[in-house]
Amino acid sequence: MRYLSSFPRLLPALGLSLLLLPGCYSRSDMKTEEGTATKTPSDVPPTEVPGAVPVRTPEPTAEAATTQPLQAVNVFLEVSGSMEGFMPKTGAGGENTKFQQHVAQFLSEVNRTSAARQKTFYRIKERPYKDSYQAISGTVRSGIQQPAKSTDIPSVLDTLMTNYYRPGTVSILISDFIYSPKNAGAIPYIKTDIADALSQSGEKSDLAVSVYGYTSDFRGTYYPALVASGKKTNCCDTEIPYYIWVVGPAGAVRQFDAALLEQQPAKQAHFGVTYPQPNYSLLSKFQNKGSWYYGDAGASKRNAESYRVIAVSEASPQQPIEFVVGLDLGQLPGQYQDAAYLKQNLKLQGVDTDAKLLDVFAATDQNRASSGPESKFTHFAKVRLTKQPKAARPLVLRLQDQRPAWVAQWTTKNDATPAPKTFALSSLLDGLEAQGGAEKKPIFEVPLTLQPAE
Amino acid sequence: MKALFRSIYELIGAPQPPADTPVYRDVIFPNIGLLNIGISLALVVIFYYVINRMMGVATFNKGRHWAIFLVINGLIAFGLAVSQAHAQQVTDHSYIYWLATWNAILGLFWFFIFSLILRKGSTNASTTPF
Amino acid sequence: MFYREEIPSTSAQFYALSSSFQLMAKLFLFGIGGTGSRVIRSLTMLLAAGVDLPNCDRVVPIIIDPDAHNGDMNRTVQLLQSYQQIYKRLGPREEGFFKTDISTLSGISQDVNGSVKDTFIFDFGGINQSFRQYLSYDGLSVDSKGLVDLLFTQDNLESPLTIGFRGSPNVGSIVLNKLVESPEMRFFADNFQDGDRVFFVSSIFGGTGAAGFPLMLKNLKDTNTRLSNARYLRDAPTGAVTVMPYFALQSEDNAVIDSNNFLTKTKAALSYYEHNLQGLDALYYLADTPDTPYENQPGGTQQKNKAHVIELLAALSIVDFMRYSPAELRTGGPHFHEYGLQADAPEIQFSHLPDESREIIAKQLTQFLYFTRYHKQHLPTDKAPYADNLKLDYAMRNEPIFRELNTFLHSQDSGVDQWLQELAQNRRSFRPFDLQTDDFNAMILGKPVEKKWNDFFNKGLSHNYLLDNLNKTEKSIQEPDSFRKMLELFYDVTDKAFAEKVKVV
Repeated sequence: MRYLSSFPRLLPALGLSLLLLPGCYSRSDMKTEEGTATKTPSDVPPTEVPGAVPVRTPEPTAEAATTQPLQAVNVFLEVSGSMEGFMPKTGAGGENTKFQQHVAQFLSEVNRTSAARQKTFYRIKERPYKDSYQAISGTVRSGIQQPAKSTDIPSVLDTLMTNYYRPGTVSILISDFIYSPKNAGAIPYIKTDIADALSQSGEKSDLAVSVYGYTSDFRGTYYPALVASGKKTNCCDTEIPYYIWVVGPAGAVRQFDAALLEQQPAKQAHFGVTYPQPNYSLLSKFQNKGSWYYGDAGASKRNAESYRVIAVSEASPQQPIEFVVGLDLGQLPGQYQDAAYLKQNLKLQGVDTDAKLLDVFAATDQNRASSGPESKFTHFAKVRLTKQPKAARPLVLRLQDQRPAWVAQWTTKNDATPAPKTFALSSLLDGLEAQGGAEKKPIFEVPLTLQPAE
Repeated sequence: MKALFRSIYELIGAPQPPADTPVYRDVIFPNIGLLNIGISLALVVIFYYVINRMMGVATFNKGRHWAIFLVINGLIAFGLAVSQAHAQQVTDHSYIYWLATWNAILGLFWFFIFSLILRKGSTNASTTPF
Repeated sequence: MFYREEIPSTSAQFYALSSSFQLMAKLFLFGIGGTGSRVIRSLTMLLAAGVDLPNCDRVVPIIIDPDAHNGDMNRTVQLLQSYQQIYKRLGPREEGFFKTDISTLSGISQDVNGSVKDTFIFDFGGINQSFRQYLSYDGLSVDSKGLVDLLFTQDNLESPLTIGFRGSPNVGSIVLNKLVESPEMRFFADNFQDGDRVFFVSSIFGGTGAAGFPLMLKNLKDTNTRLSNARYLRDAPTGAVTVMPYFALQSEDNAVIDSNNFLTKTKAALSYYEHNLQGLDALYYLADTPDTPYENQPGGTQQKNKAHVIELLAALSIVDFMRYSPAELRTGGPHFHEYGLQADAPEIQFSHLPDESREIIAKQLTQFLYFTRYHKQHLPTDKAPYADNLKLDYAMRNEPIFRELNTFLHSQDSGVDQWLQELAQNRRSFRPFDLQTDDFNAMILGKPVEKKWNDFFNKGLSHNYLLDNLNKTEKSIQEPDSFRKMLELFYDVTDKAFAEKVKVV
C-alpha cells in the first residue's frame, strides 16, 4: 500500500504535463485575442521600425457620411438655346435624343434616391428657377418651351457657390458647358474666370467637383462658343457632348458620385474629391518569388488584408524578390480602377532600394474565386527588387491624380464645326483644378516597409 | 519564449518556403516546442513513475525498455511537427520533414534530460538508463 | 507442548541487572560424534534463516569426534566457518538472517597459552594409534590384560582410533574420559560465566556419542572437579538431546558397524542413563522407525550422510531449550521431552509439524528459501536499481564476503540448497518446499500462493513483485555497507512477501 501514499507526490508532475499539452498556439486563437485586446494593430504605426511610413487612417467623417444620407441635392438643368438640340420637341415618330433618355432617367433616379433627403430641381435661365420634378422632367422630355439666352458659366458657378454650397449638400449641373467669352481676348482667362467664380464667395477648402462627360445626338440649332462663326441650324450629324457636374464638399460629392453616377458609362474627371485609403495588403502566397515573408509584428495573427512589411531574407540579381500588393479599389471611381490608368499612374517610391513596379493588373474571376487572401482585392501591383535592404525603409505605392486623356480629346479651340468636342474644355477644367491648391494630391498612398529579415 | 523556440528550431536553417516564416515562428515553433517538452515529460513520468513506481512493474526497467519509450517519443515528436505544420496549412515543403526530424531529435534530448532529472524518484527504474 | 512460565517482576529486574554484567550469555554446544556434527549443521541452517535463539548471544559449538576426517564433521565445520565470516560482517541485529553469533571456543576469549586452536573441533592431539597402543596393552600386568580382554574384543583392540570408535561405546568411554584433562576443557571452564548454558547433542546408538555424553556430563558436574568455575558449571542450565536409531546401515558381511545392534545398544544406554545422568535440566529424546539404510561407512571422509529431519528436530530441541528461562528449567527437576508429529507422513510438510515448531521455523525457513532461490536465480542477472545501488555486479564477483555467502548458500557440499535437498531425499523426508520449481508461488508444498484468476496484475510472488519490493525497500534502508544492506534488504522483502502473499503456513 506504500505506493498509494506516494501518488499525491506525483500529482504536480502530472498536472504540469496536462497544462503543457493544451498550451498551444493557433492562429484562430490569436485572432480572437487580438480582437478583444486592440482594435486593429495594423493601424498602429510600426514604431519599432525606423523610417516606416505612418499609415494613413481613413477619415472618420468620410465613413460617417457614407452611412448618413446627404442633406440635400439641388439639380440644375440649363435651358438655354444651345440646349434645345438635346431636348427637341417630340417629333412625329416619337423619337428622342440620348440626352433626353439619359437625363430623364437620371432625374428620376435622383428624385427617387434614398441617398439624399431633400431633392430640389431648378431650371437655369439668367438665374435658377425652382421647379418641380414633374415640370423639369417634362421639360427634358418634351423640349424647352422658352429657351433662355445664353448662360454664363462663371456666374452660374458663382451662384451655386454662394447660395447652394452647404455641408452635406451637392449641386448637380447639367449643361453642355459651352463657354462663350464676351470676346476673343477673354479666351486665355477662362481658367481664371472659373477659379474666381468658385472662390468668389470665400475659399472653400473642401470644394470638390466631379465632371461626367456624355455625348448625345442633337437635333436643333447649334450655337458654337465663338459667336463669330455663326450658328448652325438643323444640326447635326455628329453627337455633341454634354456634362453633368457635381459640385459640393468633397465628402458629399464622393458620396453622390458613388450612389448615382458611378454606374453610368461616362467619361469622368474629379477635382478635389478625396477618397479613403483603399484596403491593401502584401500577399505572401500570390505570385511571390524569392526569400521574403511578412515582417509585421505578429504576422501570423493578422487578418489577411493588413500586411505591410516585407522582410527580405535574401535578394540578389540572381535571386530577385517579387511580391504582390493587393489593392481593393472598389470604393474608387471607375476611372481610377481602370487598369490602363493604373498602369500609367500608380507609382512606387522607395528609399535606398531598386524596387520597381513590374505590373498592375485587375483581379480575374479566378482570383476572386480563390480561397486565398487575394480574393479580397480588386487589383494587384507586382513589385520586384534585387537588393537586400540594409535597414527598415519606407516604400510607398501612390496613385497619381492625372487629368484623364479624354479631356484633351474632347477639347477644341474652334467649335464652329459641330463635333463631339467642347470648346476650351481643358481650360474650364484647369479652372477647377486651380481650386485644389498648388500641388496635386495623390488619389491614395499605400505605405509599405521594406526591411531585412531578422 | 517564442524567441527561444525560434532560435532552437532555426538551428537547422530558416523556415521554407520563406513566405511561411511568420507562421512557423509565431505558431508552429512554440507549439511543437511546448508540446514536445510536455510529451517528453509525460512519457518520462509514465515510464519512471507510472509504470516503474505506481504500477509496481519491476521488470520493465531495462535500458531497452527505456529505449522503447525514447523511440516512441521520437516518433511522436516527428508526427507532432508534421501534423502541426499541416494544421497551420503551411505550404508543403521538404522543410516540414526536416523540421520534424529535428523535432524528433529534440524530443530525444528532452526525454534524456528529463530522465536524468526524474529517474531518482522512480522505484524500479531509478538507475535506468544507467 | 512446552510450558513457559512468566518470570516475576522482581526476578526479571534481577535478571536484567545480572545480564548487564554478563553481556555475552553463551551456549556451549557439544556435538558428539557424527550425529553431533549433523545436528549442528541443521542448527546452523536454522540460525542462518534467522530463527531466534533466546537467552543467548553467542553459540559456541564444540564438535567432539576423534575421527578427524569424518565427512559430516568436515562439512559442518566448513559451514560454521562460513557462517562465522558472514556474522562477523553483519554484527548483532534485532532480527535478520544470520542473527545469532557463532564462535569457536578460542574465539570467546584471548587464550594466554595459545594451546587452544581456533577451530570448532575438539583437538584429540593426533591419536593415530590403535586402541591397544593407546592402552599400552603390552605393558599391562597379566591381571589387567585379562580385564581388558574381557571388556574388549580383539577387533576393538586392533582398530585404529583415527576413525573414531566405530559404534563401540566401550572403547569411546575410555578415550573420552581423558578429555577433561585437555587444555580445551580447561579453557572452556576458565571462560565459563554465570548465565552460560551447556547443551549436548549425541546419538545413543553410536560409538562416540553414546559414550561421550554421559562422561562429559559427569565430568562437568563433578563436585570434586579440578576445573575452575566449578560452581558456575554445576549450576549452569544444561540440556541434551539424545537421538535414538533413525537409520539403518546396509548389512554387509564383515562390516565393523552392524545396525542390527543399534537397538540393543540403545537399550543398554538408556538403562544407564536412567540412573547416571546427574545435573541435567532437560533431556530431549528423538526417535523414528529406521529409514533408508545408509551406506555402511564406519567413518572417515566417506561418512557423509544425508541430512535428516531428525537432525533438524534435534536442532529445534536446542531452540526449545533456549526458550526456557533458567528459573523454569530449575523448577520441577529434569524435564524430559519427546517429539510428536501432527501426522505420520512419510513426506513432512509444514502442515505436518506441530503448531509450535511451525511457528518457530516455517516463516524463517520460507524466507530463507526465497532468499536462497532468489540469490541463485535472479540476483546475478538482476539489472535493477537495488542491484545497481548495492553495486552487486562488482561485489558478487570480487568481494570475498559475497563469495562466502555464495558458498554458504549454494555450495555443492555444504550449502543450503544441498541441505534442503538432502532433507527431502530420505524415506522420512522433510519436504516443505518444492525445490525443483522456479515459481516462487509454488515453492511451499501444500500451500501455493493464492493468485486471483481475475486480477491480471496480481501475479502473486512473481519476480516482478519481489523486484519491485527490493527496489522500494532498498531506498528506505540506511546502511552504508552493501553486504549488510543486502541481507537486511532481503530479510525485509522476504518478510513482507511472506506476510502479504503467504500469510500463514
